[in-house]
Amino acid sequence: MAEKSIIEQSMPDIAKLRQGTYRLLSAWSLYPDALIIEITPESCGCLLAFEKTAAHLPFYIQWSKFLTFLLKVKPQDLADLQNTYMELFGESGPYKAISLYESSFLSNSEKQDCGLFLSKLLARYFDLGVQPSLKNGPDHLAVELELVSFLIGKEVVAWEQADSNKLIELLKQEKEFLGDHLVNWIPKLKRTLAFREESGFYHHLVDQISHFISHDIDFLPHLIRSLSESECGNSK
Amino acid sequence: MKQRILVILCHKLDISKEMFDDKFLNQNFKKDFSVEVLVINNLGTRLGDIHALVGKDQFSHLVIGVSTDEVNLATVQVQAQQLSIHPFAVEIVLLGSGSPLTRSFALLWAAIARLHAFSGASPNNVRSVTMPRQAITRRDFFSLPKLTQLPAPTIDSSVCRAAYGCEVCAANCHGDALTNDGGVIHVNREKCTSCGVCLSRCPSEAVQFPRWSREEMNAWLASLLQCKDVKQGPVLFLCHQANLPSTANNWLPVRVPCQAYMTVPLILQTLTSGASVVGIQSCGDKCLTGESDLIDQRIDFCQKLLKAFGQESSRVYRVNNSDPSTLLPPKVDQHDYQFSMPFQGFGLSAYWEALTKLTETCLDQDAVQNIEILHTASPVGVIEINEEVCTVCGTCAGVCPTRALTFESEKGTLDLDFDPTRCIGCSECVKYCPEREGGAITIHRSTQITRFQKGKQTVSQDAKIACQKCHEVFATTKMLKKIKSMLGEDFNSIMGDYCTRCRSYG
Repeated sequence: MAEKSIIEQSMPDIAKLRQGTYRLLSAWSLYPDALIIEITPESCGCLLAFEKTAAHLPFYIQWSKFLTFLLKVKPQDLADLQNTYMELFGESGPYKAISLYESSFLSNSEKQDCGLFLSKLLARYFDLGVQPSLKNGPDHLAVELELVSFLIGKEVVAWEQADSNKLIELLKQEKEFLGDHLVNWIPKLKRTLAFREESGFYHHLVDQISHFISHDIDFLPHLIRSLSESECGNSK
Repeated sequence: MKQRILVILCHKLDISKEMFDDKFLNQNFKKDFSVEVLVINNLGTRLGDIHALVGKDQFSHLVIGVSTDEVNLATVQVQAQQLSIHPFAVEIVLLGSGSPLTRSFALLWAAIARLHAFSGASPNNVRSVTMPRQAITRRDFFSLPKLTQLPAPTIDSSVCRAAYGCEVCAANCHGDALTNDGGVIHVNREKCTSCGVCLSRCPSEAVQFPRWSREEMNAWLASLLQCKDVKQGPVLFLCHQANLPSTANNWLPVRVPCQAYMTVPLILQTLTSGASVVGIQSCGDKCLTGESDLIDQRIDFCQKLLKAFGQESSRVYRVNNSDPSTLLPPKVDQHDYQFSMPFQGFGLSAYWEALTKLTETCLDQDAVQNIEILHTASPVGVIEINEEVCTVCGTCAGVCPTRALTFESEKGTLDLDFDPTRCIGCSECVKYCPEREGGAITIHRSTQITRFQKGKQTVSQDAKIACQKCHEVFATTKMLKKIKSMLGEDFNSIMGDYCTRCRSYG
């Protein structure tokens, strides 16, 4: 019997697992508190429920290892994680803090127009229907990851409504945002962090973010193309 | 994790009854402690359950030995991922029905050798595709077409010569996936077709292309060619999308990413390392590169070369599933090429090594000295310098990606040296030569045994002109002569005495 060439009923599941993964990565990019440690096992459990579908995607091995790694974080690790976070990204350590803001990784010429960059980014959030809290700037890692998660949340609804035009529009928005922002600066953040931490928690976190977005930016055009071709087919 | 390789075989493999005899397995596979063999009943129908049969995180590589060509790579890769095995650390070996035991063993062992040489891949080396490409239909709206993970190239910028103008990979990429952007090669994975041409053509070995890397392919072929039981077997290089011919049992099949991946050095070294015949099979209409003409030219060149060395030209040819006369490898006279380590199938060193072996075994040594084959598929080039026009500025040496052209200034003269064993005929030297319109340098794609034997030679030479103030060499007499002829009366004698810097700052 010929094997099925499709992963049945998987698209909404894939969207959900991508949405959840971005949200989890976003939450862990902030200063850790008791709540994030408390909700992580449940969040990981929800994501691992999509494991069978996720295994078809190239990020699977790293993704499942990272979730397993997160499941090992216990409430008693909180103080250590908070100290590490402050040493790396705050001003409490002996070294210069590593910035989690995209604007810090702009090239010298781009930095001259940093204000313009931030206002354009903020305008983009508004266009997409989001008003980010000003507590963390619009270019903070957690905020950018959360925005992608938000867009994928809209994608989940579009899948449920089987609205292919809306889907294509949303997928293009996700691709453009990833390509214009996260894909550009996360590798730089990863390299900067690698000088300070070779195997710690935040090294794994940024490595996972980098891995996940590099596969996602490949996956999205593939999906857009498939959907566009399906639309062409329908219109004939 | 330590390298541990799981070999899964279907119990229905009609190889030989002794294949699954414990004694045979112990004598062969199990002598390598990293290999474990598992025989599964009705493997073809249970491919989707492999992860349930084997524990997670136990193995780093997976080899599947099956008899049918219908095994879906995507399915196996999913199973591998669920076992924490990288999708490129998987090898499906099509053993065919009724395959001789020794052949099956050689193929499995070559797959294991390839996996031992696999050193991992970065996320940027992986691209997901649907094979065959398909659109989402209204009926299957919520279903994703199965994804197969194929390699995409990444560039090792520490050895890449793009900053010096080398664009060999970009020029040979048929999908325009590679571009030289300010001295850095950028890879557009959306446009990439995973054909591996960039890897096989890069003269600097800067392209990383896991699954079909140089190391993996060399390990694969070395294992196959030195296997004593299949020595002098015919090797069939076939596109990974091509269907095995019905006569597959008569060949030793080696999957390659695309027919265009096959270079002349790889073909010739396979022949001079023990293969009796090399067949090349494309995927036909499915080919995304459309490089059939190029491969035909390479085959034609190899045939001409073999003929020039007194060998049977039929030792290289194209296998075509629709032409039954090509499906069986031709019988060729015995030859005595010995396998020698290390096997370096790619690059010019492999080419010259193959030519050396062909020369040694040629009966007519006088004829060898006269071999000169001018052919578009020659992997090497020969340059000719018109000394009347060349100003010995050294630009060509600066951009030469293989350092076939070098610039020596230690003696009282400036020498432009040419090493024919390094020239790949890329024409970068011609492209950047300031005197190209006058024909200062011309290049021919030609294999000349005498030039090769002579080695490095000075092809252009001129006296140095040193600045009278700082004593730095800043020109040659020919360069000044050229400038003088261009400026005419505007030429100032100071221009011939001092370098630009000393003229500017007094």
